Amino acid sequence: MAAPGSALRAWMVLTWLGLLGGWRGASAGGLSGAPDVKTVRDVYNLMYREQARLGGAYLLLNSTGAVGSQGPADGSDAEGVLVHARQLAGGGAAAPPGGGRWVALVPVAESHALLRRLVSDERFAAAVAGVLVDDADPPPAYSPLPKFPGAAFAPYAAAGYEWNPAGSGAAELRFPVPVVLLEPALARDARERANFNAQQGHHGRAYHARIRMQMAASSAANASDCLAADSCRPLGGFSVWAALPPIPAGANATKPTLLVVAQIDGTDLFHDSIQGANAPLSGLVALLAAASLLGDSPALRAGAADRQVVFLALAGEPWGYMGSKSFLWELERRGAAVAGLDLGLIDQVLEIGPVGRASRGDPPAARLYAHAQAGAGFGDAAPLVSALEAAADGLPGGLKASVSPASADNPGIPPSSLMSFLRVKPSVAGVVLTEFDRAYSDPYSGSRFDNGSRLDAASVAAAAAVVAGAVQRLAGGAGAQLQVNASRAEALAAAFASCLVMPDPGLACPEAAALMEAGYTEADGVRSYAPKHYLGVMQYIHPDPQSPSFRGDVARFVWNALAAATAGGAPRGAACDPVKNKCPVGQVCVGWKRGDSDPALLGTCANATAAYIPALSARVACDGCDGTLGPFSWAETNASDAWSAAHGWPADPMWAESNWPLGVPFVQIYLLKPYGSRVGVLVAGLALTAAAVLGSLTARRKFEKHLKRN
Amino acid sequence: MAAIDFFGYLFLALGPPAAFFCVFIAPKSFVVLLTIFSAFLWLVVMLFTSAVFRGFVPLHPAAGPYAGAVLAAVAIEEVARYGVWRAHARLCGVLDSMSRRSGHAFSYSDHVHLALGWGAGHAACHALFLFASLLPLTAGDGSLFSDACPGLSVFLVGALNCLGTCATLVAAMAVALEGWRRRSAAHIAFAPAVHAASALLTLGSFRSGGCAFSVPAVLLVGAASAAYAARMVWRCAPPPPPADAAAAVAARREE
Repeated sequence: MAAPGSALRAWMVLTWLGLLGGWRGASAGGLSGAPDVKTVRDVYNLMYREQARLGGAYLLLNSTGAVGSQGPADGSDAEGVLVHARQLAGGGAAAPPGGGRWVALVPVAESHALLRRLVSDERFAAAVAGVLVDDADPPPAYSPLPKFPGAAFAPYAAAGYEWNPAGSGAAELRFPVPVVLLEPALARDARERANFNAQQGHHGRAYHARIRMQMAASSAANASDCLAADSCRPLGGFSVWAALPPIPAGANATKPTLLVVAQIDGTDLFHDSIQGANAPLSGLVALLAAASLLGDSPALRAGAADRQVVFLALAGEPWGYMGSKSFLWELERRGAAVAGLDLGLIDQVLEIGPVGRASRGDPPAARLYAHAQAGAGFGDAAPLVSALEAAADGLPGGLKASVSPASADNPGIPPSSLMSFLRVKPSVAGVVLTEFDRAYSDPYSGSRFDNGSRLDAASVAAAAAVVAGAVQRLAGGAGAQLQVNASRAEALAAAFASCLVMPDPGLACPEAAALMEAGYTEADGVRSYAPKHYLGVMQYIHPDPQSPSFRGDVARFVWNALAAATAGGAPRGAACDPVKNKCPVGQVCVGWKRGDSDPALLGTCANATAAYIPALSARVACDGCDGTLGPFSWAETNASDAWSAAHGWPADPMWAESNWPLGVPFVQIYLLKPYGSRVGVLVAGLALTAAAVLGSLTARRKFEKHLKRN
Repeated sequence: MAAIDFFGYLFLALGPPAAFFCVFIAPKSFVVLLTIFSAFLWLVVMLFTSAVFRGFVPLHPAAGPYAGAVLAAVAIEEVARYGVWRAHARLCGVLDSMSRRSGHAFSYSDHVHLALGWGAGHAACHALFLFASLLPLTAGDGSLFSDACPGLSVFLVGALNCLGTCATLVAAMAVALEGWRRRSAAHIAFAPAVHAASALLTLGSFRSGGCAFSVPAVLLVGAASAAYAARMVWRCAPPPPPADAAAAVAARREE
């Protein structure tokens, strides 16, 4: 209130509202959470409770159809009377008493059941205009993934096996009405307003909700359709790989190669809320910590190792194993992004799955399980399992872990990137290291409730130490031992977890700040560097596999961290940037933040091999991504069809996200008066004005006559 | 559909004042200018009032502090009204001498119209700040009700209060200026009395259900003030000249 005018307005508004009903009374129906009223804007905020630009179950398209939700086909807002979903239970759902439709407010525990009913019951869907989800009381188990995520990609036939018992499959449904997740404050307001409506019997004035969620591709039949119409963008991101020891410039790996793999992206029905703390980020944190521990190993650095170790962080895996398929397709066509690698030499894959909740017993110890694919034709994973068991047994004091082979009753390996490698090269010896045996032990797998508060850093540190020890044994030659420092392992796990898993500090953590300049969002003057765990749409593919342009903050952090870890303590070279002061061949620019002149923001050249690999549908290519930032487009391609068919890949899902206009999504809850009373006020106003005109004319005539006489 | 509320409240609150303006003020361009000047003058008074109160807001949400604030604001405006009277008297003097020089008469009707112009400006300023500034909020579908007045929306209460207050302020100005001109104590006291009454009556809304009384009361005060002002103007009109005097004037004209 700097200016006198606004002070006047504030005083006037205060006085007026105070005179009308008192300070606390300036709300409707005794509702809580009303903001302090000082300006006209505050009155607006009392009238309209809003949420903008986040929380939607956005429309995604694939090769056969679509999932998610969208607004009405005519582009209008979805609008209806706010009602508790439980009041719509039972067979059928009548329309509100005054006509129109409902907007159902549903607690998260009942949300999947309601959403399934929306899809299966046409009469119910006709009565409901939209769904608002309230996360206030999370159920004990919640997962929108199917019970066997990615069953079609498994190297065995057991589609009915329940790896994810809590799975509901809601993420695979297309909803006929917009579905939005409410922020906690708005969810509380919505509950109160729905209670008010219920008390009123939904008669007379009632709270309505408006949902704006137009999706440009809502009329497209599938991803091919919308890509051709330019109403959607392909989902895509960037995987990262780094080699230990670094591969000399211009050379290829010559030794059998061990891939140490983790996934980067999480998933949820509501992309803005994806956390993925345990699955998959605990595995990624363990990968980065293990790489840092191994980066100090003299045996691996000296070139005397028996194997080439490659750390691989895969993006896009929740979307039809997009990252691993892209990586294998790049190897097949010898793309620049995988220069130096040879699929023929990759014979071992160690994947780190969810390991963040493995602590059991007293004293707590991380109980881990090694899943391998049994069966003729698949590689013998016994050496990997043995190395993991030995590494767990040899952990230093302060870290406790055990590794057991997974149950022989399992149909095979759990949903994992290893499935892709076994499909293309079944002879690979592969193990997936997880915290679970027969089924997921985390009841929130693939959901937004899988957040950092549930992660056990000691469990992740133990897993990282086990992986480091196993890799050392597998690659370090006979009798090699990696002296894992327990406190260093815990510090590394804690540091990477605070950067990647926790929204605060997020990528403002010291480790990330030393390596890059991360993006942030700002709300109410507060900056958030929380990393985004949703894959998102592919922005651009820079042809230089070491360029940080358009890679995304998480991928850039992983690239820098792996490059720094695999470079080890070797002396760094000159200051560098990706454009003007590039590093010599064989070196990469680690720690570049911005620009090409300020020494504090430049990176340094390190002897490391690290690259970005596009994680994109194998049936989509960029036409014009040549690094000049000229016009480009996404087009469907059949270049990989023969290769896909040869390896029996399921139909490529070609995931794409619909475009949407500014101002979407938008939720607004407001009190609507009955139409009759609104018309009544207008008629009364018009009548009063007409009467005032007649009265004034009559009075003027009489006064003029009276004054003329005088 | 959404604009139905906006136009409803607009016509309810500002329709009658607009009708009054169009019928009584608009035909006289000088009075229109005076109305605009008056509105600007009262804007300055309100800015001064807000500056004074800046140190006190927000007030404790009870009738007592608000009554004090209302009375203080009324007092400041009544002091300003005296200043308006001095300006009005000076203006009338200037206009009267200009009329005589040009051979015209500055009549009682002109006095009344000028007073109405001053009052219309005062009412317009109040309507703008206390109602029109919130009117755009009614352009959407939403509404707002208070706990103490669940039967009427805050905008409907505001519109009716605005209507009553506009009538009160125009009438008060007409009576006050005529009262100062005639040195009539009753007429001079009328303006602060009805102004304070109209403002204090709105405090009835602090009580639960109080708006059912306060809103009609404000309207009643406005109607009564308008009726009183109209009666005063009617009665204070100069008496018709005697019949022989009229004949003498007519004879002089023939000569």
